[in-house]
Amino acid sequence: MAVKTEREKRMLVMLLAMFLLFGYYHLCITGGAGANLLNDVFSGDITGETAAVDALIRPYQVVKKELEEEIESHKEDIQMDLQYVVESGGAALLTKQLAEKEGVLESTKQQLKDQKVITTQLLSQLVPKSDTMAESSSMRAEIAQLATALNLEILETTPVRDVEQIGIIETAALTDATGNRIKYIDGAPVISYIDAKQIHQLQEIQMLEYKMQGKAVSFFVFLESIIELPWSLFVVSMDVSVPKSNTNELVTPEMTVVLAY
Amino acid sequence: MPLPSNTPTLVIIHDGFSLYGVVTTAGAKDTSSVSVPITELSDTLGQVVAQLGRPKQVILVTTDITIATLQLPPGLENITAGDELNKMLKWEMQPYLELNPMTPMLGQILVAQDRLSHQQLGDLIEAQKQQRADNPAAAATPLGELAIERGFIEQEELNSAVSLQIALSTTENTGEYVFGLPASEQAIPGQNQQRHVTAITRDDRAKWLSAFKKNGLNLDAMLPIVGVAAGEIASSSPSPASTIIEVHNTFASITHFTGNKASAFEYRPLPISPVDTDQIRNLIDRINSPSKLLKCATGELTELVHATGETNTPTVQLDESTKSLMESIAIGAIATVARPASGIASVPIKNPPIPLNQRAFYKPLLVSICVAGLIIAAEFFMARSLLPIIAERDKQEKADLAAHEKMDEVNELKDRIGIMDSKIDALNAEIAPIQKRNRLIGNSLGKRSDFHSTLFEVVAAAVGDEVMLDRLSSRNGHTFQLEAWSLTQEKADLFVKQLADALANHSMTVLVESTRPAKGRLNLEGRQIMLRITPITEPVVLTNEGTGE
Repeated sequence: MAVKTEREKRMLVMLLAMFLLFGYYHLCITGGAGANLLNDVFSGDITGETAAVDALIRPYQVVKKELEEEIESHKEDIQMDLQYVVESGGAALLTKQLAEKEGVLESTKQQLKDQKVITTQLLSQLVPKSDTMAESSSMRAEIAQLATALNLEILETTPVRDVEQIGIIETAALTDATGNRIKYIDGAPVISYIDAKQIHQLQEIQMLEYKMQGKAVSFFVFLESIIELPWSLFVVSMDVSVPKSNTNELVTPEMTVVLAY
Repeated sequence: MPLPSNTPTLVIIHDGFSLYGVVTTAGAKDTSSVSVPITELSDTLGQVVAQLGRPKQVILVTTDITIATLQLPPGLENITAGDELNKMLKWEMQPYLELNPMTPMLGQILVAQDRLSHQQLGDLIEAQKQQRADNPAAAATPLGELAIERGFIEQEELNSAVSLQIALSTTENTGEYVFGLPASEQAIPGQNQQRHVTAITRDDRAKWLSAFKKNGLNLDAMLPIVGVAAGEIASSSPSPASTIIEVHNTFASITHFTGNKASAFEYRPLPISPVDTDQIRNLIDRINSPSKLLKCATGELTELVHATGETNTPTVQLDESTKSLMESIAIGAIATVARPASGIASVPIKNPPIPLNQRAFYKPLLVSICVAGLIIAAEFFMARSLLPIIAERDKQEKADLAAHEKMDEVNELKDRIGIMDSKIDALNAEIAPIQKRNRLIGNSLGKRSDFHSTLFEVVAAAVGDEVMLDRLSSRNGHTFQLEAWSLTQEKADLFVKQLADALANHSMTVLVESTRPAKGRLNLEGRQIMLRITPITEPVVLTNEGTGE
C-alpha cells in the first residue's frame, strides 16, 4: 500500500467522518431498515461485521418494539382500571357506601337483638312444651276450672291438627269493585290461611278448640279471664251462636273458641 | 551509523570463495590481515576471528551484495516504504541482480582460494586436453586428482573446495531482497536523482548474520565489494583516473568517476579460469574511459596486467603500491561507513520497521475500527433514541401502578362492602324466621286475640233491649260475621251505626250484608240483620319485583 499524502489523508478522514455521519443519520431516520434490507438481500454471505451490526440492530429494534408495546399495554391497563373505578362509583362513593353499610349492619344487629328480646318475651309467656306436658295439662285444668266457675260447660276439647279443621281455608285474593288487588291495612286483626298454617307449624305454638255451652256473658267473661291466666293464650277464632229453636224454651248459646298457647 | 575512525575495526572481505580479515586501528595506519578459504562459512569466519580477535566494530564487504546506480525520484523513501519500496527497487535493479548464478567450476574455486595459480590451472587443463588427445576413449583424470598428483594441492584442500562447490550449487535464492539507500542529496524537484543502491538477498543476509552471531560478532555494516575501495585507490594515485578497475581472481570491480565522485559501478565476472593476458587486455580495452587505474588482488594478476602491455599507454595506470587491494577495500569500507555521504550505503542489518499502514493487520484493523465506530455510533443513537421511550415507559408504569392501586382500593372497598352485605344478609336471614315468628305470635295472634275482646265489648255495648245477638263468628280468619235480630228497623240501623262508629276507631268497617223481616226468639216480628266486619283495605302497590302485600 502506497504511503498516503497529507491531502489523501485529509480526504480519507473526511470520507470516514461522512461515512459515520451517514450511518448515524441513516439509523436515526430508518432505524436500521437499510442494514436489515442489506442483511436480508445478502443473507447468504454474512460476514462477521454484518453479523455484528445485525446482532446490534435487531435486539435494538426488538427492545424498542417491546418498550412501545409495554407503553401501549400500560395505557390500556390504565384506561381499563380507570374505567373500572369510574363504573364502580369511585373510592369516595364506595367509602360512603361502606360507612352506610356499617350503619345498616349495626342496625341489623340491633334489630336482631330486638327481635330476640321480643322472642324471649313472647316465648317466655307461652306454655312450655316439655315432654311431660305438665304445664300444658295444668293450663288446661285452669281453663276447665275457669269454665266451671263461669257455669260454662265444656262440651268438647279438640287439638287442632289442621287449620282447615277450624274453618280457616285458602281464599281468593282480595279485589275491589274494578278488580284491582287490595289488601287489609297493616296490623289488621286477621289471620290469613298462610299465617294460620305457619302458626300451626310453629313448635312453640299449639292450638286447641273448645266447644262450650253457657251464657253469652259468661263467654265474654271467659274470654276476658283467660287473658289473666299466667300463660299467653291467644284467641284464634270464635263462634258464638244461639241455636235456632221453634219452641219458646230458652236455648243455651254455644261457643266454639280456638285457643293458641 | 557512522563509525569512529580511530576505533579498531574488523573488516571481513568476501570475494565469493575466501574470507579476508583485516583489522585496522589508528585510522588505518596499522593493519593486520589474514586470508582463509571458505569451507563452511561459520567455521571459516571463526578461523579469521581466532587470528584477528573480536574488535567492537565489524564490517562485512561481500560479493553477495550488488550495487547499482539508479535514477530515482528525490525523497523516494519518504514517498514509499516497506514492500512497496522494495518492489520498486527490485524492478529498477533487475538488470544488475544475478538471479541464477552459475555454479563455479572446481578450478575457479581453487584459483580464487589461492590454492592454485592461474598458470598452474592452465597447465592442468592443458594436461587434461593432452590426455583426451592421447586416449580419446578414456576419461581424462579429474582436475583435482591431477592437481594432487602434481603436488599443487593437498587432498584436504581439494575436499574443501569440492564441499564449497557443492554448497554453492545447492544455494537457493528465494528472490527476496533488502536494499540499502544512501542518504538523499539536494535535488531539483521533479528531476530524478542518481543514487547508488545496494542489495542483498534475505537468505544471504540471514546466512551472514547467523555466521557472525555464532562467532559472537555484531555486524555494524554490510557493503558491496564493488566500489568500496575505489575512492581509497583513486586518492592514493598520483594522477587522477576516471575509472578504477579492481582485478580479482574471478571478477573485476569497475568504478566510474565523474569529477571526484563515483558515478557508476560494474561487476564484471572474468571468463572461465585461468585468466590470461588476453582476458585482461580485453577487460581493459572494453572499458570506455579516458583514464583507467588498475589494482590487482594478487601478484600474478599484476604480472598479467603488465604482460598486456597496456600499462605503457598514457590512459592506463597500474597501482603497484605496497598496500594490497584487500587493505584498500578495508580502509575504503571503514571510510564509507564513517562518511554516510560517500554515496554507498550499507544494506540494512535489520529489517526496517514496517509502517503501520503496510502491516498485514492494518486493513482488518481499519475495517474493525470503522465497524467499531459504526457500532458505537449506532449504540449511541440507540441509547439516545431509547431513553425517552424508557422514560415514557417508566411514567406509564408509575401511572399504571397508581391506577392499579386505585383499583385495588376500590376492590378492597367493594370486598368490604360485599362482606358487609353478606353479614347483613346473614343477619337478615337470621332475623327473618325470628321476625316472622314474632310477627306471627306477637302481631297476628296477639292483635287478633285482642280484637276478639274488643269486638265483644263493642258488640255488647251496641246490643240493647230491642236487639238480640244471634251469632258472632270469626271462623274464617278474615272477616267477622255477626247476626242479630232487631225489633225495628230503626233499632237495627242504630245498632249498625253504633257498631260502625265504635269499630271505626279500630280501622274496621261494618258492611250490612242483608236485612230481612224475621221472628225473634220470643216470636216477635222484627228484622234479621247480617253484618260483615272487615278491616279497612288499601290498594296493593305493584313493584318491579312483583306484587307486594
